Amino acid sequence: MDATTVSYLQTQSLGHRTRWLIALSGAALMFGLWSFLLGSADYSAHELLTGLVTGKGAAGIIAQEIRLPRAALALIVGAALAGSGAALQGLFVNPLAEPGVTGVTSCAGLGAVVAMYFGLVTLHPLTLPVFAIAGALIAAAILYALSKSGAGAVSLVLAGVAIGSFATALTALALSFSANPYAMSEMVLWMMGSLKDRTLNDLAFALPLTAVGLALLSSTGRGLDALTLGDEAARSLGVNLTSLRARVVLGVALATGAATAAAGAVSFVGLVVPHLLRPLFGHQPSRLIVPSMLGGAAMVAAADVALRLIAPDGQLLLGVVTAMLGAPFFLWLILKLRRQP
Amino acid sequence: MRFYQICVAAAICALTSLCVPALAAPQRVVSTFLCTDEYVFRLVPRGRIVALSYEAVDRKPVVSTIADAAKGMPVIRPSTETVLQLKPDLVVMYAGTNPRLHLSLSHLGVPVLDVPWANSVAEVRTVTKMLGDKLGAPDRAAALLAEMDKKIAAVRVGAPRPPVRTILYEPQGYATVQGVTEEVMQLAGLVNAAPAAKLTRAGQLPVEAVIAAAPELLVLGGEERSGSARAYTVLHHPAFKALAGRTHMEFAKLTPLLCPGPWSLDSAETLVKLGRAARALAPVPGRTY
Repeated sequence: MDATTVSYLQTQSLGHRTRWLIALSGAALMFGLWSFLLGSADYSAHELLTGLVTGKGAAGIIAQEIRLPRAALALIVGAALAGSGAALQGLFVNPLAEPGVTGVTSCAGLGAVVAMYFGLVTLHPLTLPVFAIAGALIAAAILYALSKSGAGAVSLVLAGVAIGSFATALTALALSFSANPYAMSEMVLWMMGSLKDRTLNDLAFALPLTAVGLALLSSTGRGLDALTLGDEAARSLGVNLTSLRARVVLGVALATGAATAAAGAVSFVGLVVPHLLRPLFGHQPSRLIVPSMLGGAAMVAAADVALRLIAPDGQLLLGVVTAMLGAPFFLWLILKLRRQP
Repeated sequence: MRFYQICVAAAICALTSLCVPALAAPQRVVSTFLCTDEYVFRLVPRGRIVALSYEAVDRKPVVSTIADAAKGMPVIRPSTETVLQLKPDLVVMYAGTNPRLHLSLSHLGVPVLDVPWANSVAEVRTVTKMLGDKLGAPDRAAALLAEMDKKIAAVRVGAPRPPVRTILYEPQGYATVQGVTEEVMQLAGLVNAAPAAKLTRAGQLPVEAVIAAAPELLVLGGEERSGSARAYTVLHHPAFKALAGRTHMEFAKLTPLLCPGPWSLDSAETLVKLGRAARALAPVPGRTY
């Protein structure tokens, strides 16, 4: 293969990748817009879009204070979870790794629950995402330590299940001790996720933290590519492994923690999206992280639309829809891995 | 001689008729649910109450109207063991609550009195009279009802007319109004404005549906600075500013409406005041409903 052929293939590949990136961005925007236009108040698209710009009247306030945070959070949460999933899969060189399966989301939920139900949120609203990020950080750090000690793919998933179950039990314990009559009934919200009646404040806290987390994850692509060749090869290529791993763990904690603080635990997005996109973008983490963010945004926004179309009375939770898609996919993936030599 | 015998017999009869109700009344009463606590506390003398449920004196949050008055009284978290060790001669339960406990007490031969849920003020009368008879306190029951009638009469005088379109908005967005609560609202000159078509099956109303309904009065249940839970955040949603100038919004504790009973009318006065404040903000002369 001469240099001209390589250049041609690269150009072709770039064109192919760009087209899919545009398609994913379009899908995310379309579902985001659809989510924005859906709601219990009967306003036309024109009234809502005009209201979004002007902020005037009931339609304007509903557009700015209710619909915008919901649609934007759907996109942000999806991007955070899927981007984290792609990065974790690259870090652990494990196709089953994702924030939900590895217990990172459950630990983030535990952090948020502790902050909220023990009154810490009343000190400052930022304590909610900060505690969620701390929870996610602890889970990601434990997993990282396990992977360093040589745990295999299945062991890591089992460790993730243990961490997730432990965090869920602690969440239930924290809610039991909380002096609040609604605490127990809200457990399902923290375990299944919801974007109902979120505010611009929720968006204002989630957006910058998630953006920093995703920026950190985006910067790890090349290093994670090298890591797929093994630690030694990555080092010989000049990759600072300690810095790389720290950036992934911190990026996942920031993105997943902020997303979970806003929406509760939404599972399987980080698993499904990177796997669906691998045939389109290739297996290298550097090619997958950003498309996964866009795909995740589209998936969660689509799930948010679907749940309101399936159950317009708002009884269906976001995590229910993503789990119904993700759990069978997870089983299929395990069976596929078992068949591999 | 015959006259003497008749006099003795008459005296015995008179004494028996006076004493039997007191002796027949249960002496060791246990209540297992907040709404039965409210009745038992008001109808049964303290010395005959062995225990109320813990909700009667719970302060986080206060859900009972007798939280202060019942302070210091024995309370339990009802289970078969906790109830049995109190050796009650009557356990008062709300029909349908704690079926496992009900079944085990019935199996063990412990007398259980099932109190039906009252769905109207008329049913409140029936239930109160029934409980007065069963608990050996018909006079106290009659007094409770007389007091309730007095409050109804007073509320009718002050209630705004035409009725004020109102949404009672509780933590977690619950906005269902029915039964005694709805009747008390009507007596207080309010009419429920929560659009039934927008309510979820669980009875919750999204914030934007509240805004679209634009009620004259939005009563936010719970405390203004209540504890931390997602449930309360909905009451502080910034989008409610869309109702500014059109809707009178106020936090109000409507604890007496949690359980239907003669005390439910205690909330009527609060509701009348809120209705008048709403009407002052947006008067609608000649408007009919």
